[in-house]
Amino acid sequence: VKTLIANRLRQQGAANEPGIKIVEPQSSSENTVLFDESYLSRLRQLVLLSRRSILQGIAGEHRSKRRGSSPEFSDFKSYSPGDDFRRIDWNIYGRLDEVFVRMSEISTELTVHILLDTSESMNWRGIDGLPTKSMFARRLTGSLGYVSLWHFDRILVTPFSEQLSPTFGPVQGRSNIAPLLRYLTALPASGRTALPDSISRYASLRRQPGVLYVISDLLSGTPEDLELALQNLRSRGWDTTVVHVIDPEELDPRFMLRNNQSSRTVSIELVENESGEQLRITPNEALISDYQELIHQWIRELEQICASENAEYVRLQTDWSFESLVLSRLYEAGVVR
Amino acid sequence: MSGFELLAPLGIIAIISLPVIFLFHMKHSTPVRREVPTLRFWKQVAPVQSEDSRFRIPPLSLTLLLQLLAAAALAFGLAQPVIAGSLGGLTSRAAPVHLTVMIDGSTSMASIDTDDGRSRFESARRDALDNLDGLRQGDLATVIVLGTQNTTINATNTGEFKSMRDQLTSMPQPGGIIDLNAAFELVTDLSVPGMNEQISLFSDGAVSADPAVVQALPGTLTWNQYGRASSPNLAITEIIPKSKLGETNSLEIYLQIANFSANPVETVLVVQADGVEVDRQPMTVEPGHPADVTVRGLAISTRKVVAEVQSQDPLFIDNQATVVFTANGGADLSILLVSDLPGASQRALASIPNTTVETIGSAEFHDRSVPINPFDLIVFDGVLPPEGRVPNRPVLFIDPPRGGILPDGGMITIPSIDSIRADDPIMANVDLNGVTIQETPLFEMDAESVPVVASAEGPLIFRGIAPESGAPMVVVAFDLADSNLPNRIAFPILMANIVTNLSPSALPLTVPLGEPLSFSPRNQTASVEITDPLLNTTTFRVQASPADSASAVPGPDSPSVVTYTSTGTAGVYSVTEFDQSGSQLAVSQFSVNAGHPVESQLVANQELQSVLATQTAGSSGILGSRINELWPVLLVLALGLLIIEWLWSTVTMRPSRARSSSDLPEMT
Repeated sequence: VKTLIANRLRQQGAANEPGIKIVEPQSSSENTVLFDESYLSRLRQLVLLSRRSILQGIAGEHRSKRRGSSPEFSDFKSYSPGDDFRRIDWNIYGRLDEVFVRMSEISTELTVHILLDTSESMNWRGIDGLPTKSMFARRLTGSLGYVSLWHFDRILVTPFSEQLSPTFGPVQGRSNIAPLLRYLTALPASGRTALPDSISRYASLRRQPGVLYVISDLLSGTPEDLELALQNLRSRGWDTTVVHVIDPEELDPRFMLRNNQSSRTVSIELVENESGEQLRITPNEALISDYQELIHQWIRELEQICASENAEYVRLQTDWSFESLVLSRLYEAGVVR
Repeated sequence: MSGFELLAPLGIIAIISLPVIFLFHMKHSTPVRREVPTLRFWKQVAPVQSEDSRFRIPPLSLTLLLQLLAAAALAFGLAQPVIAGSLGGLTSRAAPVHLTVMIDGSTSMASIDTDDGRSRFESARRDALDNLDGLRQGDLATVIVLGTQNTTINATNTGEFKSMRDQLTSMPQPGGIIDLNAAFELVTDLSVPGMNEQISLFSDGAVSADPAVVQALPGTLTWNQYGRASSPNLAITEIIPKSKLGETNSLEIYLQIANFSANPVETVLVVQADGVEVDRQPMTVEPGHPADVTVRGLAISTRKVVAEVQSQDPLFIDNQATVVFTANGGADLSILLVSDLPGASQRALASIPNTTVETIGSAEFHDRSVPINPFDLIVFDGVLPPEGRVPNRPVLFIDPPRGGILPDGGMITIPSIDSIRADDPIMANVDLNGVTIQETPLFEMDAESVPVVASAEGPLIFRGIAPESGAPMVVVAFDLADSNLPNRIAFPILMANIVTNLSPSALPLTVPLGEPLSFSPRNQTASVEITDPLLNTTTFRVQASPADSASAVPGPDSPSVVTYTSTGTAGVYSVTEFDQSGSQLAVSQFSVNAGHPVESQLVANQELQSVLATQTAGSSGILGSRINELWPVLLVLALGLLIIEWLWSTVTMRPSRARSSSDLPEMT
């Protein structure tokens, strides 16, 4: 299978090595390999999970909760009026003197929606050498897309900043892996963020709910706005996972605020990269502590909102290793198995 | 510390680094711009700050203070500050140094009135040698021993420094009168740009200096003065032999005795002739009024007269004066008289003592049958040499015919003597009253000719330079046969004066101490030896003319002039001339006397101190001992401040933490 995929990608000009290697454009600040073969082999082991029966179609690899007449046995249930007599298991009736109906399983497909934040705030990193939040998010999107397409799920990737950008997809099948990764590689990050509006608008555009991954730094709108958007998704039947991408310097800004030449505490003029708004501060331990307390309170608030709206909240830091920490975190969160 | 100055004042421009450091700190304290993804949380935790300018005056931190002090010390060091004296050995001597040592070697420096019993010159020389001890490799030293003629010694390395010291140690005092202005101008000319010029003058101050010249000196001047403020001195400042007219068998000696003190001095004058005391007279010499004494009745054959005043003053060498009478050295003066009608001229020449006269006719001169070179003087009477045959010897033309080598402009009919150059040596003791002269050619004098006796129409006797040869000449324009001069007593005196004046061996009777002696040796002389009173002999090689040469054309066989400068010792000097074969031609003597109207005054010039002080004020120099540079101290200070600043920065800087996964927040 691996050779087959590699050959197909090579034919499409997407890869020049046995493994799939998608590289950031040269114009990027660093020549970072988005995916290498070892990572892809791990991704191929994973399967996206959906916590609710929002599987649809008939050609997928996911086990459906819908029961039908397929030869695949699934379970028994007590007979109730209206059940197909042909499904009554007479052998059990003979042994237990109780009527049970045999249930069969229908395999179906999964439609994966990814809302990817491409605002200017994502194009930021606190320390040189770490990926920007945008790059991290695109790499995560690629990972999820790879897993989906590998298992013949349908996927749609919709970038957003102030508005929804044109959607990549829906696509299905492994032949779309390379186009997806190329698309993500060339995806720019700019503009301001309108996360709650973008979520609500996307939900209203889709008639069939599915598995939705919102990948963002969540620095747009208030938690209450986000709560309303998630509430809207839940009411429409979406299986939502909020992936919060955060830079470690956002959690602990000491290094970022420290003068490069000395430890002297000097005034710092903070400039918001989306709006250009400025704020002069004189950092000290008390200020940093207050900041950290505030941002952790915000994170806890996000977690509570997601939990209340039956959405999974996954926080990922850009300094985490994808092969170890990120996949493990997704696994623990039940996003993949 | 008695003085301070900046050797490189432009170096202080480096002080501009202070505001640069200040600006750097101002920029450093200016808020640093940091881009963040959101200000949401910062706005809630950060108090609102004033919107003042980003550029603010930095706080006066220890770091800023140390850096400013270090920069100021370095800038100050670049200006090369120097001080007189030292700071406990912390300073460095200014380098390189051009040390110019000027030692006064004038006659007055021979006075013995110093505390250690040495002469002023000896004390000055000792101090000068001490002054030279401070020299090191890379320095330059110039020693100028001042006298009538200065002696200059240069040294540029340690080997030459030692040689310089040796030369200075063995150098006799030159004596004489010094020209301090000329010496200062020499020092200015010898200055080396870029070097630390230090001038040390060792003098008794009995000399004057021009303030303008002093102010032009290139470096700092230090004056070490010698002698006491009050040094009375008695001196014989003049000794002149005289021959009284009409008394050919007696000799007179004129003496002048000066009292250089504030009070009258009683003394005794003792005169010895050839070792025999011939006069002793007590006298009182008033200050400021020299006593004139004439000693009469000395035998005409006297060879040496010594006069001495008895006085216990610091300068004893000017208490005595000597005169010797062997100017011609006992050798005959050879005179060639060229005349077809020798008469009065031949008789007058032959009557001059120590003179041999050979007379030839004009025909013999023209056919070159008689060599010219053996003769010291050529006299043409009624004859002129043709063009190209002017002898390369002093010549006397008597009644030269017109149309010859001497240009003329007509005749003077019945000339009368209207003017006489009384101070001319050839007119000494010559009385021309009543002398009549007949028609005389009017010769045109060139720019170098001087009329000695003249009528209203033109010169009758004049001196000048002979055409073609350039030798000295005297022209008696009129015919002696048509004048009554040969019959008068003035004639032999005039001829003797002319011969003496034109004699090549015009050795003076006396020479002031330190004054150079210049004289022309005889034509046959190949070498001259001069022996001073201390029996030190100096030999001069001169160009002798071949005895058999008949050439009269001037050429490279021009008479040489001997210049002898080592006249720093008072006494009698012997001059011996030798020919090419080594045979002694003549022995002459002259005396050197120390008494001098200026140099015998031992009291320092009261104005010299103020004049030398103008140099100090003009150059802002340090008048004192050696100077020392402060830049090493400032450099050490700056480095120390920078080290303290570095340590302070290191202590206050927090160690950077290496980020690792352990810093990551909990994944919960």
